[in-house]
Amino acid sequence: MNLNIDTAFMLEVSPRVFQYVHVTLSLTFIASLIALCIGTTLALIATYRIRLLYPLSRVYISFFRGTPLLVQLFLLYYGIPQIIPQFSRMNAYTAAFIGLGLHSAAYMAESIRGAIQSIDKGQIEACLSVGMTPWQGMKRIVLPQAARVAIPSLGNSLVDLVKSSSLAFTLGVPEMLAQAKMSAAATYKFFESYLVVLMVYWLITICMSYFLGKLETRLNKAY
Amino acid sequence: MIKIQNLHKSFGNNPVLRGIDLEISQGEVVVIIGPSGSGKSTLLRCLNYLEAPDQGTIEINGFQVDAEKARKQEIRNIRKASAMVFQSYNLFKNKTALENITEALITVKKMSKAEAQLAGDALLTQVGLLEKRDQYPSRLSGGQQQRIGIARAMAVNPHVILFDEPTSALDPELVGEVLSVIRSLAEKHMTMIIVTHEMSFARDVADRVIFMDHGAIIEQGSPEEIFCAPKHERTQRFLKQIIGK
Repeated sequence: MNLNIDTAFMLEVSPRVFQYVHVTLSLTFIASLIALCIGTTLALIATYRIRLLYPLSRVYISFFRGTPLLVQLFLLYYGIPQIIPQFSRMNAYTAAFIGLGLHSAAYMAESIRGAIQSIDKGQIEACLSVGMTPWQGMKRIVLPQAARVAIPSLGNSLVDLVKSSSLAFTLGVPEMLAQAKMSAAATYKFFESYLVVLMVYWLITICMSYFLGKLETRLNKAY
Repeated sequence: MIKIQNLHKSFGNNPVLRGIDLEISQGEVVVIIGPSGSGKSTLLRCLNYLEAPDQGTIEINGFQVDAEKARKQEIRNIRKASAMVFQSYNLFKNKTALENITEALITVKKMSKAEAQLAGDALLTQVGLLEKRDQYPSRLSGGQQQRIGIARAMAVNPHVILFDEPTSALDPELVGEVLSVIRSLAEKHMTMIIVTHEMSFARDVADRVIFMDHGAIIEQGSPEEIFCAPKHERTQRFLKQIIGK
């Protein structure tokens, strides 16, 4: 074994990798917004068993959970523009956050649906009994309570998104992994380069878990 | 005025209400008693349309619904004319005591937040819980939660309040405080329909007592008539089991 690790090189590479941290964070942020919107919609469709949309939503969830994200991204970025030429103007960055968002939505939908179903029926009955509409009750009473239940698993999805954003590299998005790979190729210091990338990802997910924990405590204050 | 005609409800093949006819005048306190599974709670839940009846009509304060052709707006009007107090309180867990009361004032009655809070504080005072105004339900005892539940029901200024076994889930020492709030409402001639197993309370507070069994009204009359001289054999048997005389 060769334990000759070049720490000086690691320190030198770190800032170069780090300057792309905003790409990872913004990809994650936009993708998570997309995922949360689509996920909540899918969860509501499932909760109300809306005709026509419900079976479609099941197909959506089954497809995005049952196929590899990497191939989904390839299909979206390289495949779809061949069928729909308007999409050929889509850049790699856009394709990445759309693909990540669509994928993560399928997982979030299941977490949110489960959370909604875990809320006692008495809560919505109480809303209706004082004259609120079913939608008012859902929006003001059930969803806020469901959010608290869903936070831990939504947090997992968020951490997954951070890590999956590294796949944007395969579409040619200049991000942390791409930068590390270039440094590695130039110096043959593969171990150091990739270790630095992992450390940065680890740091991001640690921070994220910390803030999610804080959020959970805040949402729990009523209980 | 509340008028129920020929109300039917089945769960699958199991008929729970078999043609209920009932008229209740303004300010009347009606207590419904009967063995479990007799359809008492279902009747209340149909009046608030938490269960959709299969057949029959319900009229509350001029708003009418025909079960076989109920429209959304008609159902909403019936619900607005009535309010429910639940056995398990069902307070909004993500709202404070005050917010539980003001929620419907803001979303249904379209009051401003300040107006609603003023009304909410008055109701909290009325049920003796002003000092708990900013507490979440999880910090309140069962009796306190149920008193907030009653205040929440009163807030929407309903034509009738429906009580579905309001003290059944309470520890015995907490029953009194809830019953005294209900009693004070009776003194103000609030129209109420109360399903309860508290027989001595029923006797005290009721203008009329209704005995139900197997989805039908078997017998009704003044508390004296029902408790002291029940005519029907099934009423006699039920009271004997409950009171033991």
